[in-house]
Amino acid sequence: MSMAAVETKKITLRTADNHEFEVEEAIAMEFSTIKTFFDENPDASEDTIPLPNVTSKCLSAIIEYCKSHLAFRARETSSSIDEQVRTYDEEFVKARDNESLKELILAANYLNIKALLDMLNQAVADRIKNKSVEYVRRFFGLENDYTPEEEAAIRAENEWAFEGVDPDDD
Amino acid sequence: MWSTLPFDVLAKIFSFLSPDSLACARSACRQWHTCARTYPSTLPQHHQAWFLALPTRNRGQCCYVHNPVVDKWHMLSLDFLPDPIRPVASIGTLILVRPTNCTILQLALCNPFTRQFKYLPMLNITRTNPAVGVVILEPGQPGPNPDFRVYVAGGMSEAPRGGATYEATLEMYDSVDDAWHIMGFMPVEFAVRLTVWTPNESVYSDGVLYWMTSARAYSVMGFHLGSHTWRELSVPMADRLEFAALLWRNGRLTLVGGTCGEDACIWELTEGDGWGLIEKVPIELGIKFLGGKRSWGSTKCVGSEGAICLYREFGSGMVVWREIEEKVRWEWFWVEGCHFIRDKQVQNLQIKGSGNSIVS
Repeated sequence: MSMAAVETKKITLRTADNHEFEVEEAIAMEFSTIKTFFDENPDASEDTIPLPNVTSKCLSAIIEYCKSHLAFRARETSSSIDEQVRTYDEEFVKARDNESLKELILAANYLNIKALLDMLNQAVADRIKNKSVEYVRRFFGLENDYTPEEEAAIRAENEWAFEGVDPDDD
Repeated sequence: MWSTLPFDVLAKIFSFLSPDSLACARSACRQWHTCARTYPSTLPQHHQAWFLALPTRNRGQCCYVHNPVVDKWHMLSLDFLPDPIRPVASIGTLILVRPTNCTILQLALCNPFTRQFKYLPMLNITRTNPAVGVVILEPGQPGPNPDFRVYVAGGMSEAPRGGATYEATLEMYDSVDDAWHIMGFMPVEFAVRLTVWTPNESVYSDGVLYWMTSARAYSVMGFHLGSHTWRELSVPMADRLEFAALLWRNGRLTLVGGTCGEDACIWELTEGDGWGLIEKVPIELGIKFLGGKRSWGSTKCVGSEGAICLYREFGSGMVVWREIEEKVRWEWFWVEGCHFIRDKQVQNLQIKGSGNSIVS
């Protein structure tokens, strides 16, 4: 006797580097940008959605994230599930360098995935919390484009915040 | 390149930084500095709120802020202000203030961390001592700054034939068009109550803007924004409370108050406009806070998302009830009063406090 196969609806997404991804509808609906698009164009669900601002590397990571979080949400809430979600999120960001974090933030912002974006923003904030200005510059590859006078003025204004930062470790 | 991140994306990252980390981020390069100044944020802040103490008599032209993470006080210069100010309400990282050197109400936005100050336009009807309330709107578009509205109700204005009269109009400032709009009228007896007896901040909860009034017995007035109707709520032990403050906590209108010789209490508004007692200030903390006295008379209270602070003068300590685990656990803390900042002695001043509050 055969099981009635439930056809899960699939949506096709095309990334900036021309890779096509087939994702389950439930996952695509986690992307508010896409959900809004389908709400407004209900007949477009067969079409391939172009994502010119997202690379395939980013999209596959984002799909993994949404899949895992959907699975977590399907289970009963408990403190051990919360712990697992925290661990998953930590692992998701831990190994990534700043460049890939930045790409993920831009992609999550473009696709409007609030939970992922908040989590990534918090991760970036945690990396520069309590660090010196020089550290922040080095960490993000920011060039100090102030004139010496401007820099002195800004330092004076923000002097109160500079005590008690972590010593820079290289 | 991180230096070319679009400002709306960067502004969201900044909303996760506490004021001291944000100060370092601002100092890193021009782009980041411009972003922090262009989008002083009305976004919800994703870090613990800092208590801001503004001396009520602004002699020193400075204010003090408390970092709850490391229990440290900082002094911030306010020399960029054109006039001395009093805080009225908080809007994300901004503070709505009113200059104290004129009796008619004028409002301004201020950020003591970025040293920014901007007057709002004058009201349509000039008045003294009205009630002021703030509502931050849900972010509609994914833009960097949610819009907000300021409501002004009551006050006294010039009567047509000279003298003063209670002003029964309600005006609203909309940040979208940077202009005041007259919204309608209120019963004169409410205008009287809101004018004379409303020294404190308003609270927005569930479509209603609430104010505490203290004419002989405390009571709460609420203005329903959708229907433009007013209502009145009674307050527990209204004629015995020595101090009472309204706050927003966990999605509910919250009341903090204390009676002579007893613990200060925290109530929550329940269905049917009743109040349920949810917490009392622990006895030892209450005794320490009052310095052995029994009267709560000079106590003031401010709240923000995740913290409620009871305070008196700057040198006295504060009692803080803080959210430890999201929506699950709150704990009581003692914050030592500030006497020294960087080894320089600080005067024991009368202060008006403000927490970074987020209301939606």
